[in-house]
Formats: sequence, structure tokens, C-alpha cells
Amino acid sequence: MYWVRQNNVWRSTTFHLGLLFMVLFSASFLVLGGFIYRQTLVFMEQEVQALIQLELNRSRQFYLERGEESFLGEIDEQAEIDPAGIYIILDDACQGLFGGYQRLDEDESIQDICTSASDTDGWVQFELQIPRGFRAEIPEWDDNVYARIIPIAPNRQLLYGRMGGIIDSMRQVIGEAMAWGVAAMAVLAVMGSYLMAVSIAGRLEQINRISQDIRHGDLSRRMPQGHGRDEFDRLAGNLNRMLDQIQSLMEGVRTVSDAIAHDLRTPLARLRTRLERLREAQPGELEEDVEQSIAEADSMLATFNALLHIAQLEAGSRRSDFGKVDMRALLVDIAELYEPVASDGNVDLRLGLNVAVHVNGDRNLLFQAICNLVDNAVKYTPRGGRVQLELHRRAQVSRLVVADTGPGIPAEERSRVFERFYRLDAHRESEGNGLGLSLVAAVAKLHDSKVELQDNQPGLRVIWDLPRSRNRS
Amino acid sequence: MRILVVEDDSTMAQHIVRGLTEAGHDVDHVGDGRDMLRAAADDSLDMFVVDRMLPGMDGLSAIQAVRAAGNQTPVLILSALGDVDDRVHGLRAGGDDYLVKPFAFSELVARIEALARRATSREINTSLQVGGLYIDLLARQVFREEIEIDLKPREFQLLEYLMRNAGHVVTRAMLLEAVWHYHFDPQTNVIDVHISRLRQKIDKGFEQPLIHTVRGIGYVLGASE
Repeated sequence: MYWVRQNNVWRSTTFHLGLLFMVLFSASFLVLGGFIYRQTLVFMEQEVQALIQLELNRSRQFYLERGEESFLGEIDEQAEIDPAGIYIILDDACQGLFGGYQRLDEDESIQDICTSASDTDGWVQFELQIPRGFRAEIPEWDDNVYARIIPIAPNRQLLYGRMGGIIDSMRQVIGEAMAWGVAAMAVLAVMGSYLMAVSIAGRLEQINRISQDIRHGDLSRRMPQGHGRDEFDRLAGNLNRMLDQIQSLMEGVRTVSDAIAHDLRTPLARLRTRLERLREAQPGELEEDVEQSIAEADSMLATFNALLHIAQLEAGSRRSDFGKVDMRALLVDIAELYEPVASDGNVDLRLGLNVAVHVNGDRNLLFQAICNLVDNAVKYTPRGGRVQLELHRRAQVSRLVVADTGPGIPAEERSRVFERFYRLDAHRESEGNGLGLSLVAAVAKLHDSKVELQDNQPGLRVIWDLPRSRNRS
Repeated sequence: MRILVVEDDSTMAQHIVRGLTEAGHDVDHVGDGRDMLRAAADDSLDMFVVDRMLPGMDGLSAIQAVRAAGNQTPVLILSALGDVDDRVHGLRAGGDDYLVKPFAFSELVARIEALARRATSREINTSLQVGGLYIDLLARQVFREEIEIDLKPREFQLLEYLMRNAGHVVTRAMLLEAVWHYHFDPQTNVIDVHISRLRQKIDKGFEQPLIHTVRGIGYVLGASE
């Protein structure tokens, strides 16, 4: 397990995202909680108000039926049963006559309360003095009283109020719950973000570290890839495939530059020797060496041109000359072009075409590539041998076969002969630059196809499936 | 022949101008497409040799402009290898032939001269004659010293091309292009074998050979070396 340096975690994107989520989540929690809080309080106030109204109605009824005397008895009794309720009888001038008006807080005046009630349909709120110890005894006891004043008789008003203890308790409970909730969330968010950051940053850090190693030249390193199919495994997989490709390309470049250095050194050395000899030569002897030097330079030039040509084909951008190519006509031309060479070498060049097939491609490139195949086949087939050139129509492809009865290519070397400058040991001394099949491979790739080499028993069998042209041939 | 070389690379331009001058031509040189348009107004020019990539106005646009003005002077396009796929575009834009850099100078001279001959001998020949060799293009018959020689169609085409360019060197790539209509430089001996077949029929048994090999370049048909 790779551990990450502490400061990296606090700075990591994952951690920041975790915190951002925490803030957003807390905000939504607060909005929701606030809404519930408000609705609960409104509901509870309405409950209290309904209770007050009910008691006022009952009390007025009682007062009117039994008279003031027995009503006062009744409210004393009620005060015993329900200490959270408070009754006050006032005259029209808002003077407190009977009831618990002495219990009002020092700051409050019953007259002010009564006077202000006219604006609020009789509803008032005020504070009481709470005797010590009462609060703990009855949870509803509180100094805050919700009350209403209504007239009940001439020159008589009744105030009935209830202590809002339960509302205040609720307010406090919800407030505390929300505060704790937010605090717990903050702690969890910091911890969660930290752990998440450590785990993700750890995996990324691994990739970063390996990338650095690779950048410093160790191209064999690969990203660790779990068995899971999560995004990190996929990322690692893609990076590894990319690295494989880079590695094989770099090896290709190295092979090619080695081969160039090796293959061009010999002709250059020969050229140099000739030039040196020319310096000493008499005027009459010049001709032959000059001619040969030019031929040598020309052949090197041709090799470079062929290399550049292949590189350009491999870049794969050269499709502007693509068109519909009649493969049968092409093969007839090639067979005709090679017939004299083949018959000079006493090789039987046969053409097996019974179908017309068209492919979408570059006529000149296909011609050149197939010429290279036929050229090799004719060149390496011993006297009395046979080279067979065939064309078959398959469902999707046009299959070209070039089969010879030459020495063939050993199975283990078949994939390597497409590499630039690769030559079988047996042919190292014969003419050619070792680029013919590389060109074929490049042309095949440009045409979205592949050339396959098989054993012809004896000889080599080259199979090239070219995608057939879309429009009907 | 008056030739205008349009080439921005001064080393390359010098090389071409000197080579063509040595080959006996009257050569002018300009460095970009606009100068080429100005110079093209001179109707004593016989040939343009134009680099595809030019500063300011590129070679193809310049050629198109020259053609649009009704100027039919032959144009040979030179191009860096990277642009070889644009050969078709080059020829469509009004070029008459296309040569990829780097090229052997002999190839350039051979192509320029072949182009010039094509331009001047626009009249339709029904027969050609070089020394004792006579071919009847309509009857497709070949005679040497009154003796009829039997040629295969492709051999006839080869001979016809050599005779049309009698006295001038033609390269293997030119032969492949003219006779087989495929465009690339054959690095093998296929063309040589065809020529040697033709030689067997044309020269064998006659004192004076007509088809000569020019080492490292190609072939020339002529009564004397």
C-alpha cells in the first residue's frame, strides 16, 4: 500500500470535493430543518391558541350562568389543577381585579398588556415570574405566556393564558438537534473526505510515480492494474496499452536506425574507397570508377527514398489517390510484366483468375506492392519451379495468392520479414535492400488489410485479403 | 529551349539552372509563384519547371493561374517526397509531368526533353523511322532493312515510345509509365528484361545496334551512340 504525504491529502481535489459536498449537504439539512422547525412552532402555537379559546368560551359560559362569585371559586380550583393556566379578571379600564395579575414579571404591567390587546384581536404575550423550582416540576412551566383577553360582562374582561413552556422546549430541542447534526456531519465529512482522498490520491500517486520513472527512461514499467473493472483499472489498462505501443514504436525506430547504419555503411565505405582510388587514378581509368560510384550513390538514394516512402505510407494519410481498382486487370499486367523475367529464370509463372474483383485502393501502390511479392517469388524460385498468381472472390474480400516453390521462409521468421532491412541469412548476399516486404506491409495497412505468409509445401504462400469495393463490381 | 525554373530553395535552384544550362538550354529562374505569373507573360518560354511548395503563392495555384490565362506551355512539377500522393492533383492542376525530389539529374533532363518533344510533335504520325528501322503505327508493323519483325503488343509499345524519343534518354520509370501506365520507379530488372527481349528482335543479326543502354539512367534509341 502506498501512503501519501499528509499535505498532499489536504490539497487533493478529492478532499476538497468531500468538503464541498459537506457544505452543500449541511446547507440543505439546515433549510429542511428550519422549515420543519418553523412549521412545528406554528402548529404548536395554534394548538395553544385553540386551547385558550376553548377555555375562554367555557369560562364565559360559566361566568354568565353562575355569576362572578362562583366563577372566582372556579378559577381558584382550576389554578390548582392546571398550574400552567392563568386567569385574570379586568374591568373596562384595564385594571386587574382578580386572578394572578400579581404574578406578572416586574417589567410587565397588566394595563399596558390589556391596552395593546385591542390591536391584536385580544391576543397578547407576556412574561411571568416563575417561583424557584417550578420549572423542573412541570415541564410546561415557563415565564412566557400566550393569552387572550375577551369581554365577558359589562365592565368585565377575562384574560386566560397558558404558559408556552412546551413550545420553548421544542424550540430548544430542535435547535440543539440541528446544531449537533451539523457538527457530526462536519466531523464525518472531514473524516470521510480524508479517507477518500487518501485512497484515491494513493492510486493516482502510484500512477504519477510510475509515470515519472518512465519519463526518466525506464520504459519497462507498467501501471498496477487490479482485477476490478473500475475507472482506475481501465485507466491503468489504457495507459499500459499506450506504453506498450510506445515501447514497440521505439524499438522499431531503434531497429530501423541500427539497420540503416549497418546497411548503408557498406556502400558508403565502398564509395569512399572508389573516390580515394580516383584521386590517384590516371585520366584514362576514371570512367569505370565514376560510373560505379554514381551507381552506388543512386542505390543509396533509392534506399532512402524507399524508406521515406514506407514511412509516409505508414503515417496513413495517403488516400487521396484511392479509387476503384480492377484487380484482375492489375494481375494480368503484373503477370505480363514479369513473364520475361520468369521465363529467363526458367520459372513457370501462372495466372489463375476466373473472377472479376474490384477493390477500393491506390492502383499504383497495389501494383508496386504486388510487383514486390511477385519479384521475390520469381527471384527465389529455383529453375524449373513455379509461381502461381491467383485471385479469389470472397464475401467481403478479394483474396490474392502468390505461391511459389522456392525455399520458403521458416515459420519463426515469417513475422520478422516485414521489418525494414530484415533479410533472411540465405539471401543476404543477393541484390535488394530488404525493404520490399516492408513496403508491402505498409501498403496493406493503408488498405486496412494484412498480408499473411504460409507454408506452400514446398515454398512460400502469400495471402492478401483486400476489402472489396463497396459498390457492386 | 527557354526554360523557367520556379524554385524557392536557392541551392536547389542553382543546381537545376546550372545543370540545364550545361545541357544547352536557356534558363531563367524566379523564386515564387507571383514572379512566375509575371514571367509567364513572355510567350517565348518553352517550359516551366515548378516546385510545388512555394512561398506566397504555391506552385499548383500558380500553374492553375497560368493555365487559366490560356497559356499551354508544358509544365514539369517538382515535389518533395511527402507530397507524392498529390501527383494526381498536380497533374489535374495543369502539370504535364511530375518528378519527386530527390531525383537524379538525368531523370529531370530526360523528362524535360520528352515533354518538349511531346509539345512540339502534336501532329499525328502514322509512321516513324530511325536509321533502317521503320514502324507503321496504323498497321502495327515493324521493318528493319525491309525485313518484317514480329513484335508482341507490349514490345511494339516499348519500341514506339523509344522511337518517338529517338536520340534521347528515357528512364525505366518513364517506360513503365508510358507503356504500362503505372507510376513508380522500378528498382528491379523487370524493364531491362523487356528491353533485352526487344533488343533480341530489333538488333540481333544487324551490324548496327539501335537500342543502347545508358548506365544508371535508362535507354536511348538511335543510329549511333
